[in-house]
Amino acid sequence: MSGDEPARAGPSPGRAAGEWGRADRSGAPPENWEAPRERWLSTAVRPAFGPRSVLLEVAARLLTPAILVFSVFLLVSGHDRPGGGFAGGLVASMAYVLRYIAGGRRELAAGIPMRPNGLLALGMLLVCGTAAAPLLAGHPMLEVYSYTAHHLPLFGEVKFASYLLFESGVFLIVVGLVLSVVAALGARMEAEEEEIRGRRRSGGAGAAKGERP
Amino acid sequence: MNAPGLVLIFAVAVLYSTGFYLLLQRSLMRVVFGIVILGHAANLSLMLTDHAITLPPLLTGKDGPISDPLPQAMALTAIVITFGVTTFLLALAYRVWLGDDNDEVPADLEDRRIGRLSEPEDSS
Amino acid sequence: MLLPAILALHAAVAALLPLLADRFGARIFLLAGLPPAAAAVWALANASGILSGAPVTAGIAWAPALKIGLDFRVDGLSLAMTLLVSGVGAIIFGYCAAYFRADERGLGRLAAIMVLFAGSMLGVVTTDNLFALYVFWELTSITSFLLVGHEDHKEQARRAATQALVTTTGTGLLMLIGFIMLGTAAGDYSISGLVADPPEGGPWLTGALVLVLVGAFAKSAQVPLHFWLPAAMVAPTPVSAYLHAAAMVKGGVYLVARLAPGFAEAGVWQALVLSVGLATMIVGGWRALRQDDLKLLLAYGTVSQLGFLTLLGGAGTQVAATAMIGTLIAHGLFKSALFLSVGVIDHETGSRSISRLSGLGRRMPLLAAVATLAAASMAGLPPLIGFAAKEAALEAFVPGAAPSPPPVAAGAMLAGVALASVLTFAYSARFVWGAFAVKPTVAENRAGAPSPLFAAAPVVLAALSLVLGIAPALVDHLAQGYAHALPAGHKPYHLALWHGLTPTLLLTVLVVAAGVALFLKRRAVGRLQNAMPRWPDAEYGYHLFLHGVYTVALSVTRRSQSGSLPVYLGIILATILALPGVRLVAGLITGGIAVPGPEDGLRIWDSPLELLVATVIVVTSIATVREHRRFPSLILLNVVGFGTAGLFVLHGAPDLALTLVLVETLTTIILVFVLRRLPTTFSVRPDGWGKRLTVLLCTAAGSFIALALWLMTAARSGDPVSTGYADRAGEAGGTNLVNMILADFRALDTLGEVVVLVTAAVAVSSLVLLNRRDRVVDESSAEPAVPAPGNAGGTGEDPGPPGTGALALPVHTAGAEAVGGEPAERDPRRGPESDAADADAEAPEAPEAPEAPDESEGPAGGRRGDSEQGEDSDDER
Repeated sequence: MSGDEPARAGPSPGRAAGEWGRADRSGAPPENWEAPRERWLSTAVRPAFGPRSVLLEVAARLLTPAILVFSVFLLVSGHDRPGGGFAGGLVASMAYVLRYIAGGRRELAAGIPMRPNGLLALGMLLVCGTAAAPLLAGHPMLEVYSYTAHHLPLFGEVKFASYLLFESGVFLIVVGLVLSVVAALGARMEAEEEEIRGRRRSGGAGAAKGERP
Repeated sequence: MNAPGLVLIFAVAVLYSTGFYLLLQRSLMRVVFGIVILGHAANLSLMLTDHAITLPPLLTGKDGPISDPLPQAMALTAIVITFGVTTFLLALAYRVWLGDDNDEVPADLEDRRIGRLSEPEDSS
Repeated sequence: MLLPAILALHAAVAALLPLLADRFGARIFLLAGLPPAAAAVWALANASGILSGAPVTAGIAWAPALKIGLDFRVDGLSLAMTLLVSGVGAIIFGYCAAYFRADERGLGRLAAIMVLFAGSMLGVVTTDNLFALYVFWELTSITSFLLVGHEDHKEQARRAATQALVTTTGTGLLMLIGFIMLGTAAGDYSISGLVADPPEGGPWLTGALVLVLVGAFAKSAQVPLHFWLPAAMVAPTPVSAYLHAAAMVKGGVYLVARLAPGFAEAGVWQALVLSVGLATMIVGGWRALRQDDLKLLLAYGTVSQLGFLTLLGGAGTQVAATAMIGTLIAHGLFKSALFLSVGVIDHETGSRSISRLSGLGRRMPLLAAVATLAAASMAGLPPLIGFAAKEAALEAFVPGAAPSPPPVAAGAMLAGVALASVLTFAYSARFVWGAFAVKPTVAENRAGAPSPLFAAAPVVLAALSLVLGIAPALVDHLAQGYAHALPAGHKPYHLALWHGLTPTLLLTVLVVAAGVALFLKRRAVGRLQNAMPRWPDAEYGYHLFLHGVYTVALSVTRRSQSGSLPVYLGIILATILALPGVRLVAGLITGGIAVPGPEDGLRIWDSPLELLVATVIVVTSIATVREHRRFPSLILLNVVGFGTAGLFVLHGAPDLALTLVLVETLTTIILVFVLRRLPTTFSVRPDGWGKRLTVLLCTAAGSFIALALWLMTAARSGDPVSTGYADRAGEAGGTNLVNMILADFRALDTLGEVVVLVTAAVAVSSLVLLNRRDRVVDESSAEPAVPAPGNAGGTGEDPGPPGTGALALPVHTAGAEAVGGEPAERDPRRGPESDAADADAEAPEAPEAPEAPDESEGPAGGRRGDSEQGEDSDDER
């Protein structure tokens, strides 16, 4: 993996001059000294900040599923314990932020199930749908319906309520918000940085500008 | 009813003061910091409406008074909204920085220009 | 309920007219005349019933709680006004069809606005609710603004229109205040109720009446607010004939006459109405004598006549009221006829200047006869209606003949009316002479006689003057319908041509003689006028006023709008301190605000841990302020947040603490994203008084808020709103009350909140995308440096399905770029439609585009393709 990486990245603009931050320009340790030799994440890894780190990658790999499960737990149990849609959404987005920090923006792109705008849209749909649905039945807006299943195999007594749908919408919106922000302020900027650096390195840009048009 | 402890009040006073101070700075990042701190101050203010140390508002069957859940719900909403606003301001600050290469709030030139219109046009 | 329908008809026709203008040209005015004609017919049909003392009423509820309603009540006065407004209006619309050419600019608009004006004016004279009156009143102002400014390419027209609008609507606002004061005092906003049962006198009523009268005076061009009327003569002549002779300017007179039965006794009313009316009458007549432009002559004549009408309408006696209705009708007829005649002259000769017209009497004998007839009515010669009205007016002020005003004032009024009549006679004669006489010094105009349709309107109006003059009983019937409500004199007075040898007849003879003398000595009069010192010009006062407003606005702006955000925020904080802050301190000092003592639960802390956490918060927040390096201050900020979360834990709010910790973490991470791009240190303000003042201000504001919170919490006496929530949560099956509130009890709040979040997300994305656009334009020159080969594989896949495992922004940008960065053939296409700067800015970028659509936007899109490729290759391995 690590051997493969520079080979492809070499020609692309940002790689050679150590664009991963000031650390490796000033740094005594050779670049990538703590990069893992195994493949832990799904894409060719370029972390958001600094060089690759085995610790981060392993943590991201191992923790992501756990964090996501925990976020769903917070969401579902929100009515009886601390948690709920907001907290759940924040935790879930934490998983993706971790992944972004460890693996860079393409890792983030590969990891999320749908684009942030899609999450926002789906969340809004859920929230507004749940809010408006009771109107169809002539009930006031945001009326809560619930159903308790008493003998569900394995789970026993389980209560289903429409506020769970509402909370799921909130959950998705929070995730969508955080991912939009990370995409805009993190990934986007990172991409631009790379781009600018690539141009500066290429040099003679001014002359080219004159000739081109 | 009884008022919250003086220590808390003092903390809230300091939070508001520092928040205001940061808000009055020219650097946009410090303004963002000010908003964040003011958010904390506001949330604490909401909490102060129910001050005594009580059990969390969970109906777990334990005896004892539970704290008022409504300010908590409001504060929760406020926290998340503060987060949204903060990110927006960050994007704004970043954009200003891109344009000016500093993150300072520029003076509103239009206001200045209006102010300089000492000689009114002939409005007849 | 027919009346509201007629009003609606005005609006409907107005909406229709612009659509028909292209097809039918000036003939649309015939259609436009239909609604006023309908109103006039309606008024005639109901006339006998109304005059026998049974007003027609109709009402549409609007805002009953505020006593605002579209209530209509047509009595004698309203009937007279309706006949004037709609009847004369219909005739003028007919004239318009001949006056305007088919290619006139904005013909449809003009016709539509004129119909709207007719409708609004009809509303003014028929409504019975003060608020509805105000609405219609301002509608006439606005439509008048549009009509005066019809030739909007002329600066003079725009200026005159603005002047008329500012004068009439500005004072209209004062009038509204007066209406509200009147209505509040009387407890009734219906005009009939107000007049029937006027509120008690006193300063309140005086103030209200002054305000209302100011509005009425401005509308009716009374001195010193008369300046807008002559200036408004830039309007097309039929518009002037309608607005400035028959209809709009009568609005103020109507209001005065409408309120006179209830308020004529009030001292301020008498003083204002009589003095202003008298002054207007004489100033207008005097100024009319020196005008060269026939239309301006008529305009000043109108000002004079309006003063006359105000005087009569406000006097509040039966004879004056009779004279007022007579003059109202007479003036509407003769002044419109004269305006329309001037319109014909202007249309046929291209001039309306006395010093350029000569010999038209021979060329247009019919028109000359008509105009002479109308002018004779204006001058008050028998057997025209103007004579009967003027007789009545003189009679009204003959001492002893009327119950009020007191003899001295009546004498002054009589002298004034006589003087004004002399002036009126003189300028009427001057008008006829100026328009039609053969002047030896002026070359004769070669103009043909106008077409029959064109001349029809003045002919009809002048003929009406004559008919009504011969049979004044028709007008008298109308006048008595209004006048009977007012205090009567010794004997009833009727409009008639012959009352016998009365003092007024003698007076009339004297007036005519003096008028003839004045006309014959016009050169001497002209010299006298030129020799007189120039009076302070009212229009100059208007400009001075506007200038003053502008200067004050600028100086306020200059002082309060420094353009500095910190200063603005500082002002807000200072205001918080200055208003509620001072009140709080005052309350504490005087003991008006209870301070909780030990028995009320005054305590330092609830648990010692609180002290620890609070100390952390205090120290770190102060340190955040003092720290000027970006990352350390970020960490300090973070600690403040965690400290706050700790306080939440201590106070039984685990949900809050959990959320706050998560939010703090995410905020910190995102701040790092941005902060690493920004300078290492924040700008530092130099120490000094400014900084010290800021610190002081912020500390004071923070302390005030905390103190207020403390006192307010201590003073809390009600039960929490959430008292019953625990039981309801039990029913709903949840045990975490906070989340039950968020998702169930107060879910609407949450709904609003998530909308905020979505908005923030979209805003953040678009802000950064906006950056992207700028940067592409700025730095596109460096594009070719990006080597294509690296993406050779990715290019093909790039437009691939968006959304599958890709971030939004790169895909978005790729889309945007694909539009902006497509091959060079795009340039000619976009060139004309985008402005030059844009085209220039994009030009350097274009050549790169053909290399690869994704490439042109650099690594972002390219890398995405790259990443997909990476994924693929990973899978292969």
